[in-house]
Amino acid sequence: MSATNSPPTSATLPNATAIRRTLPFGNGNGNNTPLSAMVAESGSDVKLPNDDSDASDNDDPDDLNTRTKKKYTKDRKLGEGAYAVVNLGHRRATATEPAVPVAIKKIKVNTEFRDGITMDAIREVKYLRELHHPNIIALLDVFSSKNQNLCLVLEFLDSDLEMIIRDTSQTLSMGDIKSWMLMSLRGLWWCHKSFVIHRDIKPNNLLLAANGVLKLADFGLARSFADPKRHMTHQVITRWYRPPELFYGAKFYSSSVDIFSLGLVFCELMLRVPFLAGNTDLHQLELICQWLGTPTEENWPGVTTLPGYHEASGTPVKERGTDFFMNTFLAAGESGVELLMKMLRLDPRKRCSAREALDSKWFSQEPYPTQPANLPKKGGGKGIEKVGSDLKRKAGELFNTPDERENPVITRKKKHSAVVAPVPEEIENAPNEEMGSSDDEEMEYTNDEETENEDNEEVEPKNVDKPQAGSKTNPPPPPTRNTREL
Amino acid sequence: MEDHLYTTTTQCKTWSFGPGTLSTLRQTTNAAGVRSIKRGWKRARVEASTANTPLATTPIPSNNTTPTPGPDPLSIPDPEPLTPSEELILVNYYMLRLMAMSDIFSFPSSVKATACIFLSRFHLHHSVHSYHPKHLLTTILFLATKTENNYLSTAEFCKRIPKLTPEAVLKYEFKVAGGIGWDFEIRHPLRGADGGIMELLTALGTSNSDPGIQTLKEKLGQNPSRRVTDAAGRMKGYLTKEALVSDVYYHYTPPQIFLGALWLADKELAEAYIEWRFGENSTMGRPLKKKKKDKKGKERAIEDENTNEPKKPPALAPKLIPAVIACAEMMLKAQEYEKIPVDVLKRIDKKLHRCQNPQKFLGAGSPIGIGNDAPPKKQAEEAAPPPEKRRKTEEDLFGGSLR
Repeated sequence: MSATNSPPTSATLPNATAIRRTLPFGNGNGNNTPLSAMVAESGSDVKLPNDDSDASDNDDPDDLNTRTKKKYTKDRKLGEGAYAVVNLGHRRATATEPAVPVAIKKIKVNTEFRDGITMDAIREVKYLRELHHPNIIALLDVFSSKNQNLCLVLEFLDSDLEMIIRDTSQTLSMGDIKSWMLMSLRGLWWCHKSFVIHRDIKPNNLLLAANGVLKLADFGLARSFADPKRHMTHQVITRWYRPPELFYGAKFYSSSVDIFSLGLVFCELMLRVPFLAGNTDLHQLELICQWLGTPTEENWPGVTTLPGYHEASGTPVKERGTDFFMNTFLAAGESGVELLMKMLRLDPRKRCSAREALDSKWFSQEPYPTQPANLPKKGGGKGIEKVGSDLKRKAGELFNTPDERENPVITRKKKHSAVVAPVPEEIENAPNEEMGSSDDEEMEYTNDEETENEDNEEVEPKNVDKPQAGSKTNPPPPPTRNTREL
Repeated sequence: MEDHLYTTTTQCKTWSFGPGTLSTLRQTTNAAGVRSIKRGWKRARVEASTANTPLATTPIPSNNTTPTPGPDPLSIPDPEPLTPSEELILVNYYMLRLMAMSDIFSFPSSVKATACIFLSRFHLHHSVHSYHPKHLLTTILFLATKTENNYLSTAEFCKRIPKLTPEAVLKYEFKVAGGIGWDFEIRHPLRGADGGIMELLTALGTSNSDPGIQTLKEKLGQNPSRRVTDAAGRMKGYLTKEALVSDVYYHYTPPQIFLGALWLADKELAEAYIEWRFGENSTMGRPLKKKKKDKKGKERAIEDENTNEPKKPPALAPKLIPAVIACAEMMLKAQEYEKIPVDVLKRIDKKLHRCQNPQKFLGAGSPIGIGNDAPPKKQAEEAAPPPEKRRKTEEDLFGGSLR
């Protein structure tokens, strides 16, 4: 890739640019006059008194939309999925600023979702409009295309952490890993500080700018902290990175779910394969029990009262201690292992917060975190395409293409031989008619006391638990116990 | 008094205004709306006169109630447009309708409040001349259910309101979403308020000998906890009505609005609370704060205030109280909107109807603004200076208590 020869601006919109408020109200010509100043201006600004001129009033969102749209050019398609099309684009050069590459994510009108702007898009826009941080992808603009497709103009980032992990031709030093962890945690800290839970942390949602800076992306599953007593759905986070409390159907959980996910990303950075790659939810939970320990009342008071709790099959494993982690992740060193253990505690209340993680000694010890600019990079056109597909992927999905699905880049796990024809993507987006009913069949928990204050979250579970090959004929709702074929 | 985090929100950056700015903004919006009406009528006149053979008085479909333009269309005067304050009256009336609509579904107050703020923000920049609020209510409410994580399908949504179709709900969704600048996140005082009440109840419930709490108890009389719960109920009422109808969201931070509502609900309680938390002798113990953090950060607003309260702070109370009082007064003023007689509203609506439908009066032209079949393309011209009409009134209604 062009880390070296692409202009540094490409993926590193200076923060100021990133935060610029392009919307509301008629600053289509790129000036960023504060609203109040603009108002004064437009009052005194006498233009041609031509009654039927096509110049626009402030008043019309359509005009505003057109002006916003005109700020960008569309260059070429980077990827297309059932959910969105991602195009590489540019913000047109203005008198003062050069053209800047951007990614334009066009959310397709989902024929199955008949209720206007989809929830993923709503969430993504809602949170990215608010979250401004160097380690969070910047939403530059929003407009609608002529066919009433929603287009998000995002900062252009040219690779992701998954590509780095999978590129086995590269060795990753502990300093590199530290640097990526540090940047992820900073982004996550800001989310949590702003009362937002990301709920889909995984390597391919951690995007990398050309200058090496890591940014959290894909807020399609994010939500704010719930009010007390309001339920949240447990059908979130891609399976391999999902924490045990969600498998147990917890309705009240916190930002610690993101910490667990990031802990597993940490492992993956060291192992270069997903640490816990379950084929089904049940299998995933088994893996957690087996590798991290079996949740019991002892190590996790209250776990047995969770709605989906069931006793693990097989011999219970004691929650892993330092010895196990030191053996498995020796490279991280003592303080690294200490951090990792705190992030992967079974009991969510015992997990560290992003802030505490940032305070870990590990970051201030040698080897120091690598400067972003010196981090390993994955190159070229491939990178761009991949990120294109990362952005268009539906929240919670793991693979981008059927091909990838059949031949995942995981080497450690055995492959299932019976690979059935890949599912056309649409099916995965089948609408989830009854929201509340997305209970996991595998869990079979009782639905008592479910009524009050149910938080009607529209999270389409099948994306999270995407039925993989073979599920084509299954009627959509819930996530099914069918196996992900690997 | 806002904390650092709040200053990063779109609510603070884009949707907070100084006292004068808001009314200027409304006038500008009004002026743009008036211009679009004028243009529409002008076009309609041209059409009427070009088609104006004597028979051009061909009855227009559905003109049964309106006067048939027997006379020369050119002799019919331009309609009288709405003033900024009339626009506001109309918007606020529809906001009350919106609340009622939300209650049909028994949506949580966050949905209701968000919907109201969406409506208010939309019309801050879009004149009712071009966008009659009655066509937007369901769209806005539905959008609010989605942004507040309370999604239900349009089919379900339409079941509850007679004659409503999903198409009608979604038709203007992009317009509304774009019209509010895609800023879906609204910081309500509701959470902070809940947190504050919890904090009070916790403090009163302890047998702590903390002098601050002791004074607090003394000030609240016989049954302090009861008093707090009663006040909380009334406060919630203010927060879900007056706070939304008034402009406090544009001028004050969520914690200030919460305290303002508490002030209205029980002045002494609010005073005592502010004194306890932010007064000269504030003895807020650290442990209590710590405990609150553990509640998953519920008390956003309260925490906001915590950050403002360094170790040995100059007391915040003297600065805070005037803001709270001003905020409370502004909310109280909003009660006038409920008292506006129906015939005033009818008159305004009639004026608006005339403005938007030149075809019914001239026999030519097309409807102006959305809601009619063909949303006409408005053209702009910036010549007309904003009419200064009734500016006084508006300032009376909203500018008075600001300072």
